[in-house]
Amino acid sequence: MLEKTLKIKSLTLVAIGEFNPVMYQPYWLALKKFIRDTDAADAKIQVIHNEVVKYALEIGEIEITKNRFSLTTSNISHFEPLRDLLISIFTAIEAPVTALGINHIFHCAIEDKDLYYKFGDTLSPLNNWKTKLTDPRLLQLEILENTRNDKYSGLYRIKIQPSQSIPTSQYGVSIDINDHYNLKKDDSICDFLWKNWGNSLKLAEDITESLFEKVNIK
Amino acid sequence: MDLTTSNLTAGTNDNFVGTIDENSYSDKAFSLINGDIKQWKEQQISLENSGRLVEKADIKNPLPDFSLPKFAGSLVDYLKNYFFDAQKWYGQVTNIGKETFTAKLQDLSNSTTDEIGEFEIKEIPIDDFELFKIGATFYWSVGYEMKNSQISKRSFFRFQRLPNWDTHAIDRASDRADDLNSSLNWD
Repeated sequence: MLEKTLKIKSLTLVAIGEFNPVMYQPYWLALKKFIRDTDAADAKIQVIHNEVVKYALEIGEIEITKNRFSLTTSNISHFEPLRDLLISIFTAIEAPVTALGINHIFHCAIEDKDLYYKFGDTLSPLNNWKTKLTDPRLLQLEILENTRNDKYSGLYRIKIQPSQSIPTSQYGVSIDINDHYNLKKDDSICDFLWKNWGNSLKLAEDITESLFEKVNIK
Repeated sequence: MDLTTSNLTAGTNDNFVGTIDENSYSDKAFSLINGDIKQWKEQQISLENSGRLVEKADIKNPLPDFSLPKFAGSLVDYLKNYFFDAQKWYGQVTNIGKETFTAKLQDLSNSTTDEIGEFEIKEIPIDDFELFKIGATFYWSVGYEMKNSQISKRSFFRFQRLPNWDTHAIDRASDRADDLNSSLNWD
């Protein structure tokens, strides 16, 4: 079911901790053999500064501040290489990391206007608002679960909102699933990412799939 | 528009949600490019003091910000370039011939039994050639790429680059064994 509606899938890996942004430049990554030499040469650099570094590689965009390290791609063939890059970087350096976020974003195209309305109405019944409002619509929905259903500390946060990123559809929704892990002092972000990668991908797909099943969109 | 500012206030750990219009992002990006971080921070403090930024209610358990990067826009506008209807495999080189090599392939899109594939050596990206040997692992995917509003069939081939983290893993296992050993009561 999801295969039919899903148009764009993107991934953002986020580490929260203490970082020295200027250290993570493309040529350093190439020097360490974490990326290809040509990847470094072709990097599109936007900002290199002591407090923020931002550039795009073929496999994704990298943005680093003093307390936030993120890697993003909307090319699903690069999901695993991006994960490997983060593992490579954090194996090479011993930066203190307090949290890991695996963000999955699904941009889905809904077939028509009626189903689009039904999608919002099912998630948040709009009759509840019709005492004083005439034609209420759901604009954004955010769901939080403060405890995880596995052995780890962390949370799940899901945000649903309209998506204008699908060029072939005017009835697009984006479902942003944040799979968040709190790390203890001795926890390795590399271990966490490696061990939980498959589960995280599956969880995000299951959540999205079940949403569309609830609305009975096929 | 909601804005969690923890990714903007570099060097601080504040978690604030508030409303700032899109122009503020442009201003922010512009000031960053000019290296004027200090001025931007002062603006944020001013906004906080003026009440335009509202502290989150749950102070005891502030939520870290994992939202997508927002402040300077996207360099390659990544949502306009994407890959879809793709099938992905994880391969391991099993045999190297004169012009071709064979690999064991694990389907990452649909977990089925492993397959065997034969590839031409000339398909290997030049920069990945140093990694090409028996046992080397790679990612291979085929699908459709949307790039600059143009859809085309595309295949990606990339050898896996992971550090030799065996040493780290061994160290960690050793540390855990020491911890366990010291916690055991041998009486």
